[in-house]
Amino acid sequence: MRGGARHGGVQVLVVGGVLLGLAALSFGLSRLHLGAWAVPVALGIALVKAALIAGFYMHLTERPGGPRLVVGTAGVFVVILVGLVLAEASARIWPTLPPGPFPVTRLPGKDVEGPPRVAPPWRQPP
Amino acid sequence: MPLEDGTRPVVPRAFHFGDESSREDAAHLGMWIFIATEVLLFAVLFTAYALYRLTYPDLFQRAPAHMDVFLGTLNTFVLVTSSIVVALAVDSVRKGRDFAGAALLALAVLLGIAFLSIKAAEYAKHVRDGALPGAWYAYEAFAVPGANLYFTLYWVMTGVHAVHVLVGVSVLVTLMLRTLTGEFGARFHTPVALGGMYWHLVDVIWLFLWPLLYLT
Repeated sequence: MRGGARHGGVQVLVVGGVLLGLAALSFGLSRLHLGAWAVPVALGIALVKAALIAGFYMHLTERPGGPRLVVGTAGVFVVILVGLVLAEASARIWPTLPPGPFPVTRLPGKDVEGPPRVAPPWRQPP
Repeated sequence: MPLEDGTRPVVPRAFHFGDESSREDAAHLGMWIFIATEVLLFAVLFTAYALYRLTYPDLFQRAPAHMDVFLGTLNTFVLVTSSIVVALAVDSVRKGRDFAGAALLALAVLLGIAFLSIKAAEYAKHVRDGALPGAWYAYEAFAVPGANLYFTLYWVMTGVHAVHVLVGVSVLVTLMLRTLTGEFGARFHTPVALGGMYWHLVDVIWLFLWPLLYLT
C-alpha cells in the first residue's frame, strides 16, 4: 500500500449503504418514466456506483499511479469504441439494417434505383 | 530450469521485488491490466447493445415489459450485498481476523450461488416463453422486427456475465479454503484482495446490465 490510508470496516459499510441506496434510486426513477432522460440518468447512477466500488472496494484510492492510468486508459478506449460506432450509425443516410425501408436483397451499391446518393467530395462538380 | 546448486532460478511469490509492499503494488497493477481487458470484452457487447438500441429505439424501450423486473432487481441487491460482504472479508483478513474473513467469504459464495439460481429461474421462464436467442426466437407476445435481437443481446450479455459469476464463486471458494488453512492473514493477503477485485468487477458489470436490460 502506498499513497493512501486503508479503508476500515465502517467505511466499507457506509459505501455499501450508499450503493444500496443508489440501486434503490435507480429502480425508483425507472418507475417515473423519464422518457429520453431514462438511459442517461440510469447510466449516470451506474457510473457513480462503479466509481465508488473501484475507489473504495477495489482499492483505487489507495493506489495512485499505474492502476489509475490503466483504468483511465480503458475508460477512454470504451468511450472511443462506443462513441465512434454510434456516431457512424447515426450518420447513415438510410437504415442499412433489416428490416429497413430497402429490400434485404438489394444491397447498397447493387441497386440502380433507390434513394439518391451524394457524390463523394472528390467528385463534386466545381 | 534448476541452477547448479539445485535451487530454482525464480523463487515463488516473486521475492526479487525486495519487499511485500513492492510485490503487492506489482500484483495490483497486473490485476488492473487484466480487469481492463475484461472491461474491453464487455465494452464490445455494450457497443452492440447501443447500436441496436439506436436502430430499434421504441422496441428496446418496450422490451423491459417482457422481463422479470422483480427478479432482475432482486439479483442487483444480492450482488451489491455480496460485494459489501467481500469488501468486509478483505478488511478482516488484512487485520488478521482470518476466521471472520473466511466466514464472510463463505457468505459471499452463498450470495453468488443465490444470484446464479435466480438467474437460472429467469432463464427457465424465457425458455418456456420461447424468448430464445437468434433463429430460435419464438416469443409470440413480443413478435415484432428486432425483438429477437434484443433477446439475443440479453442472452449473450447476461450469459457471459453469469460465466464470470461462476468463475468468481470458484475464486471465492478457493480463497476461503486457503484462508482457513492460515495461508492468508495480516502479513500476506494479496490473493484475497485480488480475488475480491474480480468479484467487484462482476458486480460493476451487472450494475450497467441491470438498468439497460430491465429498467429503461
